[in-house]
Amino acid sequence: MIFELPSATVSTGAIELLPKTVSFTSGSVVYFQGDVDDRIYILQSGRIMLKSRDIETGQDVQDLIQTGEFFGVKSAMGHFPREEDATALSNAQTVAFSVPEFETLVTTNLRVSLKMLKVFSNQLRRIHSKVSSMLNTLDEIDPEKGLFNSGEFYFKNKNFPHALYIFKRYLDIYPSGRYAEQAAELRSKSEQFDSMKNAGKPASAVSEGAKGLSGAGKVFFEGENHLANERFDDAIAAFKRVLSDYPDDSEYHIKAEMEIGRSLQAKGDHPGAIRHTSQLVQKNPKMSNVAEALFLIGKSYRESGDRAKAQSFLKRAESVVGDNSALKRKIARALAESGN
Amino acid sequence: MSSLASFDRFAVTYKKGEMIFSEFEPGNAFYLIQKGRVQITKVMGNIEKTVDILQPGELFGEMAILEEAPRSASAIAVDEVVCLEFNRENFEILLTGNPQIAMKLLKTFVKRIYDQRRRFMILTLEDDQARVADVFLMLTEGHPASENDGNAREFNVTSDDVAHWAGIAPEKARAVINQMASQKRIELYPGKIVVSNIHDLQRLVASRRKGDS
Repeated sequence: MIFELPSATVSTGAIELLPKTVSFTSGSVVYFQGDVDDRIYILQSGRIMLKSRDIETGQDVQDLIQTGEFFGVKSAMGHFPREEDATALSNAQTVAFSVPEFETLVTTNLRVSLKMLKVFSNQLRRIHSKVSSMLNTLDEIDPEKGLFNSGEFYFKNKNFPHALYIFKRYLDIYPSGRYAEQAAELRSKSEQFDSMKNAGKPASAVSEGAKGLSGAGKVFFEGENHLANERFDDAIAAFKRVLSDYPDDSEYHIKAEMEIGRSLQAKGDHPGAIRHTSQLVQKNPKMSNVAEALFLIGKSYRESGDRAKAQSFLKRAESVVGDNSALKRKIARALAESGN
Repeated sequence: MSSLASFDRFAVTYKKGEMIFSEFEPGNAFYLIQKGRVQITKVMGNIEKTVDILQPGELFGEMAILEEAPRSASAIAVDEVVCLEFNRENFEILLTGNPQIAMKLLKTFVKRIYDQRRRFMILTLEDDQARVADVFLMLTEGHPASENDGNAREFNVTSDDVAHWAGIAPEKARAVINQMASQKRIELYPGKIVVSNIHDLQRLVASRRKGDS
C-alpha cells in the first residue's frame, strides 16, 4: 500500500504529540509475528522487510515495504496478532500511528481511504476466491439454481412474501432461465397464498391483491392452501363450498372442479380423480384447461396401473395442449414414462 | 447518524419481515443500517440458518462494491428498517460527504479478510479430524474463555455447522464427530458440543499443519 504522506497531517506542526517518528537500526525488529499491538506504520526512509508464511503452501514469503507504504494496518485495526515479522534491512525511519490517529488520517483524506479500500477489497476478493475454490468440489451451486432453490425453500415453508420476492427476482434476472416456467408458476401461487393469508388479517393489513378477491376467490384459495399443505379433505371441502355457496361465480367454478380432481389425485384416490375429472370434461368440453384435465386423468390411470388408458388420455392431452409449454413438457415426460 | 442527514435520498425503508435481498441474487448495492435490525440468513438443506443479526450503524452487502458477485446470504428486515443504499455510482459521493463510512468499510474488510484467512487455514488441513478440531479452535479464538472454564469449551453448534466450516460433507462430519466423541475428546449434547480439552485439539491441529516444525 503506497501512499504519499499527507504532510500537513503528520508534520509536527499539525499534530503536536502523535503520530511519532520511530527509527530502527539495520537488523532490528519492528515486530514479530504473533505480537499484539495497535501501531500502524508508514515507512519514510530505509528498507523494511515483511516475512510471513504463505497460508496455502506453508512457504516463507518476503515483501519489501516501499517508501510511503503503510504496514501493520490490518492486525492493528482488527486487534489481531501480527501476521508477519517486520525487520529493518537498513537504518529506517517510520511514522507510527495509533488506531485513532490512523482513523483521523483516513477520514480526513478521501484519496487515502479510497486507495486503502481498493487494496483491502482486492485482498478480500483474493482470499475469498481461494476459499471458494477449495470448497468448490463440495458445494458448488450455480447462482441460478441456488436462487430458485431458495425460493422453493420459502414456498415450502409457507413464507410466501419471501418466496414471491425471490421468484420475481429470478424472473427478472433469468427471464428465459432453466426454471423460468416453474418460477412463474410458483410466483403466482405465492402471490395468491400471500394475499389470501393477508385476507384473514384485520382490514388494515389487507394487501391490494386480497382486496380484489371475491368471496368465492377467498374460499378457493383457502382450498389451495389446504392442498399445498396436504390437507386433502379440507381442500376438497373448501372447493365444494365454492360450488355450493357461490353458484353464480363461473370464474371459480371450473377452477374449483379441477382442484377437486387434483386433490383426489394427490390424496391417492385415483378412481375418484378419474371419475370426477372425466365428468367435468364431459360437461365442459370447451373449457380452457381441458388439456390439464386430460393430463390429470392420464396420470391417474398410470398411477392405477392402466397403461393403455394412460397413454390414450395423455395423447389426447398432447393434441389439445396448444402453447402451454410447461404442460406440454410434463405431458411428454409422462408419455415417455408410461410407454416404458 | 445525524451526520448522514444529507444522504436521505439514498434511504430505503423495508417493512418488518421484508426481504432486502436473497442469497444467490447478483449484488449491486450495499447498505448501512440507520434504523431497525437486519437478519442475515442462509438456507442450508432444509433449514434456514441465522448467520448474524445486525444493528443500526452496521454495514451489510459490502462485497457488492467489489464486483457483482452473487449474494452469499439473504438479508431480512427484523423490524421496520431504514437503510442507506449505495452502489458503485454513488459510492464516492457517499465517501466524500461521510469519510467515517470509509473507516467502517475498512474495518469490515479487515475483519472479513481475517475471517476468510482463518477459514482458509482450516481448509489447508488434509485430515478431516484435524479440520474439525481446527473449527473448534477457530470458534474459541472469537470468544476467550473465562478463568473457571479450565480446559473444557462449550460450543452452541451442530455437526452440520461444523461440516460447513470444515468444508466436508455433513455425513463425514458426523462420522468424525462421533469418532471424536468415542475418543472422549468431545461430548455431544442436543444443539451443543463440549470439547473436553481445547489444548488437546491445539496439539492435534499443530501436528497436522503443513510447514510447521
